Amino acid sequence: MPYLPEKYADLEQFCAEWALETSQERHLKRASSSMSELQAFYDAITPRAAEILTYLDTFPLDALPAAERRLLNLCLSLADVSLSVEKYRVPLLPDAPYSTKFRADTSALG
Amino acid sequence: MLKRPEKRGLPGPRVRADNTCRAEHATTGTQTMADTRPLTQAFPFLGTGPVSTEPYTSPEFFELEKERIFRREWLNLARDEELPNPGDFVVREIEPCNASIILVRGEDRVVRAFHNICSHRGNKLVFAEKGTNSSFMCRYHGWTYGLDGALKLVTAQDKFFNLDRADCALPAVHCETWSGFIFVNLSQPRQSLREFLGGWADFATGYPFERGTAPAYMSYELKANWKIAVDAFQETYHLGYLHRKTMRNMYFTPQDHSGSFLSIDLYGPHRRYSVWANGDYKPPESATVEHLARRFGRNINAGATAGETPITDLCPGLNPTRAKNWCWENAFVFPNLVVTFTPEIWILSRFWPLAQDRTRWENITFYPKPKTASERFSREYGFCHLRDVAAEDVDTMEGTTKALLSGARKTMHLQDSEIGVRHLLHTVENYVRPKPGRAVAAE
Ligand code: FES
Ligand SMILES: [Fe+2]
Repeated sequence: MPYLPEKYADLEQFCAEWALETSQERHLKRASSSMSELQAFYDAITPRAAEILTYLDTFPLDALPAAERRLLNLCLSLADVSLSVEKYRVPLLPDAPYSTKFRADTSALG
Repeated sequence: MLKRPEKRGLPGPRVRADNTCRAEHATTGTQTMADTRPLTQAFPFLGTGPVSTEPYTSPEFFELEKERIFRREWLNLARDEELPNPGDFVVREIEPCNASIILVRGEDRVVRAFHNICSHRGNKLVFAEKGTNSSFMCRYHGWTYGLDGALKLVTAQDKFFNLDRADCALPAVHCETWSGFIFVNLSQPRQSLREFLGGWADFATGYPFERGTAPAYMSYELKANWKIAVDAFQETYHLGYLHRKTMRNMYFTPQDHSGSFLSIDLYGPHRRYSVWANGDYKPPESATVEHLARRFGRNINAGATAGETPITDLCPGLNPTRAKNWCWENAFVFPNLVVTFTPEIWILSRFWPLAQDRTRWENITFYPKPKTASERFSREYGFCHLRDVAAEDVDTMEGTTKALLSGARKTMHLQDSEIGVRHLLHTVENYVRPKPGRAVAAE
């Protein structure tokens, strides 16, 4: 079984760490990564993000095949990571240390 | 509807029969506030002087707040959509009153509220947070209750002595719903929920709350006084400072960091105010992902939404001055419900006092259910951004609470756009230490 849609197989190296199911897990991963790890992930996905999302939009969101779902989860990690890379230039803002302790749940969004 | 004040005319106090008062700025530009004259003057009963820190720090005051506010007033516990079918229930805690409440939809589709306690020997009846039941059975000795709270079954009934089964129904709690907001009142209410909401309900009428079918949750136990937590949602002054890294130039401009808002209404103990966005805000060219999130969907955090107000066709109470740079409405239902209205999504926060310096905060953002992956991505971006913003607020709420407990300052100073802070304190004072003849909102 392919882990990612074939066209994106080269992104497989990021899946173990970043294709996470929940917003909470993705945020914990962002918070515990170094800036260079975040940057590496960001640099790999961002140039292709628009294309990936356009591809994923050809499927109904509530019936994504497993490989496509993993690809979307990578993108959802990118959404969180991009805040560190594009806005703050640190993994977590030093004045906002408790976001990892919030109980967060975006699963109803699909 | 209230008449607009004459152009450039100083907003005067307008007190309607339903205890509503309004102040508003005359707006001209779309980029910033052209008119910055004080709004607080419209509410002379609030004063303009420094306010006491005692209500945030005094344990005696906190005891009175629990008894005189939380045990007496209507409290929002849930949304109607959480209980779509007969037998659906949720259990909600009201910690300041040590109350646990079962909300359940009956066979007749009516939502009822009961104290979560078994009539036999007082065991907690329901341990689940939510579910669907045809009846509630106590796990201790098996007493069973109907969805209407009636005692249906007593095990080994012949061993009891003259048991009055009618008296053993679950203790009912007053429960009323407005526009899908389910409220309870632990006392004998002085007024119906609709009367209590008053002008606030008029303002919010028509907002399509039910469109937010995909709720996203955030919750946290704050080491903060509940009013300090509410206060962080009651002014936009801090956006240009505390949130300068998370919301750079979104809700303020290089020219205007004062936090002034477009207009404000006080409705007895409740209120709402209109917030403007910087219509010139654009993410930097290099922020590819932010651009993507804004392209695939729009929301409060993925950039300002100035210039679009079709939502007022549905909910005319929003943006009452019809300002072009309006982007969201912040509203408050006393004592502990904050509701933020945007054209597409809405957000609520509830604050439950646990102790004088501890508060349980629940936050729910109601999104329309995404239909596509790109829309899903955009919503996640907005949620993650909101989480970072909230984390800045949380650290500050805790810092403020701790610092005030030192007792080193007996007063604090409020500027014009901190009317909400002043109004909450004023309202709390009226409940906790009522002065004879003083009305809740206006004198
Ligand atoms: S306490 Fe509930 S059945 Fe005994
Ligand atoms: Fe804030």
